[in-house]
Amino acid sequence: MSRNTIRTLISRQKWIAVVLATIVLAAVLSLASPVFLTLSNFQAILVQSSVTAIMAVGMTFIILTAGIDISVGAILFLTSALFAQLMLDTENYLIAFVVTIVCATGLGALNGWLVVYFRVSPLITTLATYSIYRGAAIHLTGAQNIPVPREMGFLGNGRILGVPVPILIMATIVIIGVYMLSRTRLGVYARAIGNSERSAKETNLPVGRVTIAVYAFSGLVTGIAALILLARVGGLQSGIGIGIEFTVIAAVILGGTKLTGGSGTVIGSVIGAVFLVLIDNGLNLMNASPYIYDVVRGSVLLAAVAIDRYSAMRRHSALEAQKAARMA
Amino acid sequence: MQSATKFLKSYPALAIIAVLLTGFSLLSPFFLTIGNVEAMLGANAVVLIAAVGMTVVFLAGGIDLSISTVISVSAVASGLVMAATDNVALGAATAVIVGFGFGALNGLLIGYFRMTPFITTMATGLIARGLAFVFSSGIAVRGTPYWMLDFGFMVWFGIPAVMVIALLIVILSGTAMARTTWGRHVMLVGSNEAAARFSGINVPFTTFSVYLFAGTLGGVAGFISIANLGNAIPGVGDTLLLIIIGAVVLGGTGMTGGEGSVERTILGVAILAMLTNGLNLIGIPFYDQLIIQGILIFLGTWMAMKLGTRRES
Amino acid sequence: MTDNAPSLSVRNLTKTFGDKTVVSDLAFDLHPGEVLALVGENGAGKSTTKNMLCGLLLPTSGQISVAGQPVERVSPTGHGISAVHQELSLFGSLSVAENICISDLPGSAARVKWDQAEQIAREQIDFLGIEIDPRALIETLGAGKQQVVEIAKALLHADRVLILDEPTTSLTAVEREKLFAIIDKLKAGGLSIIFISHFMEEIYRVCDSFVVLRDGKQVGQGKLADVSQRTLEEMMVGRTLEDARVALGSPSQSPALEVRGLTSPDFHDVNLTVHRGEILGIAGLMGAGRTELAEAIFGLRHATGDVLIDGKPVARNVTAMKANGLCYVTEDRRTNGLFLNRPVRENLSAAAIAKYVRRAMRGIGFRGEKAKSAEMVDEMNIAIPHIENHVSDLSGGNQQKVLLGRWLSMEPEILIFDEPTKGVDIGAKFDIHEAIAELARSGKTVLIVSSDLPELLHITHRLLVMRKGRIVGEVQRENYDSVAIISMAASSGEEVSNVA
Repeated sequence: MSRNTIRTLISRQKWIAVVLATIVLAAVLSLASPVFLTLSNFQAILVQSSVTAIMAVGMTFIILTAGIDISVGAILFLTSALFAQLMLDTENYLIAFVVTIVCATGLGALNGWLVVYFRVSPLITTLATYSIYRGAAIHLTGAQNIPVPREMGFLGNGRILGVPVPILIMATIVIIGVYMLSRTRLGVYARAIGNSERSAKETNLPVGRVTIAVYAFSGLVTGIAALILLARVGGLQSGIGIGIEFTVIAAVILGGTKLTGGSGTVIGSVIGAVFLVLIDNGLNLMNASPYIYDVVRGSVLLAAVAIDRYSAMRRHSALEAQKAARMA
Repeated sequence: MQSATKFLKSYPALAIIAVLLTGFSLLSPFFLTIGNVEAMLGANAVVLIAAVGMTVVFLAGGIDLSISTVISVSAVASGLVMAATDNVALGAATAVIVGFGFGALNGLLIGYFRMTPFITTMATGLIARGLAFVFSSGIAVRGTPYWMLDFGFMVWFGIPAVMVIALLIVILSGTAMARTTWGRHVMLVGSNEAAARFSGINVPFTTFSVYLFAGTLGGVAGFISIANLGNAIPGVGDTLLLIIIGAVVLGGTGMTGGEGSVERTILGVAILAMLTNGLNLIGIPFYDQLIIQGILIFLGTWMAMKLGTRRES
Repeated sequence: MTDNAPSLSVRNLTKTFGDKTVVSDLAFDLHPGEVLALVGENGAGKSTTKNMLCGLLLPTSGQISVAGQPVERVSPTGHGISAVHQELSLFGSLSVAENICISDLPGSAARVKWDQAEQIAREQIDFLGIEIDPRALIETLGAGKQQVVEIAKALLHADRVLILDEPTTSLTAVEREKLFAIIDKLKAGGLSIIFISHFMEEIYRVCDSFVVLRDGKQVGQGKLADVSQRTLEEMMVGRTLEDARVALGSPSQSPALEVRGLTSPDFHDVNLTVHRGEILGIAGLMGAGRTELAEAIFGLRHATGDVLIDGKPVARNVTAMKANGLCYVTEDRRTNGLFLNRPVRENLSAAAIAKYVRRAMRGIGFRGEKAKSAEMVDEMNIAIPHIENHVSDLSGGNQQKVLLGRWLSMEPEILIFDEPTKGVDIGAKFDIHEAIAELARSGKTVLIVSSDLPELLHITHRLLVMRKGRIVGEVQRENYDSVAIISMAASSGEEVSNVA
């Protein structure tokens, strides 16, 4: 494959860029540390990225419609709190699971409904619900840390046929997400709305219902992510979900989805999430201060957006040069 | 009567303030005491200063998500310099320079390199937050000069000194927005960037300048936060983003650009300040306050959008 | 499409918004295979009519019958009536097949059958006789092909009536001819078409019959073969159009604006000179690089070469151009011209705030802005209650006046107009022509870019013809000949079409 082919491929399928970056970073890390290339470390990285990757699948759909959900971290926290509290009160897994998942979906749907019916921008709307959901979670638990039963650990650390459960759940959701985006009306409509809401309305697409559906789907997968997270950390802690919305959005953007909506892929977002964990992994190998992580993440995100912008400018000037050559 | 209705329609925030004022003074006799009002004013200088910066960015049609953590990093940098030199002026200069630096970075990337404001400032915000924690090792910077501690309690003309500074900034920024060519250019760029370019307005520079302005105010706010809290706290900005944006939109400045004003933001800050203070006084726990605050920000923005100056084109 | 029932029949069709009647008492029939021209000035009610006929709006009263059957509200899928709106409703990052099938995707909601969708799209496109890959993304196609996709999308449901609203505005001459060929083909297949256009030549080229709207009322209808273009225009305007001649002054010999060797990706080695008091026109087809040239002269685009004002080279940036008395009035007032959510006052002063200002203090204050804006409002005869009203509250004509006022308030010596009468009523058009002529008579220098050849022939002293980025000819007023100019503007390979 020549350099040009790779370039055209990347400009068509932006997510390939993050795949290449991930491979390069993985190669560097495997040179730096002998343990990196082991199957168990590989699995550990995927398990670590499972929560953000799952949430990124949902966020991809929202961003495709040119929306945004700042409240996903608060949904993660509130559903974790709800589940932990329900387990404490009822000790019934079925009730706890069902209520949690239904509520998670409902919280997402509420975001979508507010965006659709009040027409306040998604950013402000979800910033407000961020505050509401977080407050509600602490209200619910009385600001207590609540442990979850030991058996829950299965969701976080268990294995089925040797594969860690979080990876299985993540893979399932990714497959569903990919299918939804490429094969269902919801997927096409979501991209269409992000492209042009005006055209979508003129074409009589169910803009309101699709918008609510993508926020609800994001809520649903966030609820599932919450269960994995609870299982992995052993219980509800007050810091759950703080700042995770930015990591999730960063993963989606690194994966090549445009913030202005209309184009992007589920796979890209998931690899974006894995890439961010790889960076953490590398910093960990270097024994870096935990405080430097934000600096590195921010810089990587900035670099990715700058490179994208730079290549767009390059493409533009190449086109202009072609035009000028034809003219002369 | 009719003009009063009209006035309320263009400033729906005033109605909310009236309700909060009456409600809380009925519920708590302490609410309208001088001591409490002073405390309220003092505690909200940081938010007001940063919100002025955010307002100007909103008016230009952008957003600056980094402003809250720029407060943190400039506070930490300033605190470290003051701890080392015991020189308050040097500390103030450090805070302003750090804020200026982040503002310039945002401005260059967004104004001249034409990157998306949301992602760009989200990324620089992460960097600012990380640096604040790296420089301070994650703990409050010790060794604040005594003058700074006193400064936090100083009262000028019956108003806490920090709030006097914040109000001065509001007046200066408001004047700059309404009465200088720069301010006019910011409004026009926010209203229609292409039309601004076709009218011969330097759009990249104008965009650059609003982020520079916001970053610098973030630096000032960071410095003031030391006076308020007694120490430079690396996490000081973490929870402020919601309040800053909330104050701007509650005041009636929208995200679409070209509509709103710096003065309006005082109303937004006042609403959130009274809400927090009043709810504390009547013993509502902080988590319930979060809920009420979220609802109020949402409904307030919606009302401002419905009633305010905005209209369909 | 059975027996002789009209495919669409309208009786007493009326639409009111609040207490304002926008369309009243329309009545006409449309037969299979008939192409009907719906004409009228801006604001005459064409869009409202279109929206009622395709089901986007519900009529206040009156009757719409499809194939003899009265219907409550038209639905595209149910009644076979579909519209192609002036602003395309395509999704740029979706494929051609996705766009064509989007409102009725094959398969179920949970499983869309893409191979089937591609098949449908391919059939539609093949039928229209244009080469387009159904998998291509819309944003990679040119304007002409996008228009074809839009028609293919509408045709998926329109088995009775297709409404085309200004379908040719963004097409090149060749693409336009292809579109007309498609219309002929559809017509031969028995489809009825409602054609909305500003271009009289197009209407006479493709339509059989006409309905004229004026102020929401139907003021004329019949066969196009029976009326002359002049009669039709007079019906639209509602008065007899005297053969309005503008009095052109005589230009001086001293060059005011000179362009030397200006080159960019959109045009090549452009040289031109405009003299003081002269009105110079630039004619050419869509895509010839005229707007790009005008913007480059004003400093809005990168280019190499020189621009001289009064013989002195001027740096090509907007600030320097403004300082040297040159201004440029854009063709696209909503996108590039006006600040819709700002007051009229600020819109008027936007380009020249310094001219209005007497500072109270150094750098602070805008004293005089209000008075000067009010003066401009009077001078330009802008109909508004107050200068603090938002520009979005004004009608299109008044908005155009605000934009003009902005530049005239700078008291420019040289004006570049890009499509000065685009989307303007015939009545207002004469006013604008007169105003431009007056500017030149008073010694100003004017350069006009326009797609409206009759307009250029009407008000210019001299014409340059641009083709594919180059100036290919110069014609003096005494030698004006529209046929010759059109063949000059259309390049060798292209067939000459009715460049309006």
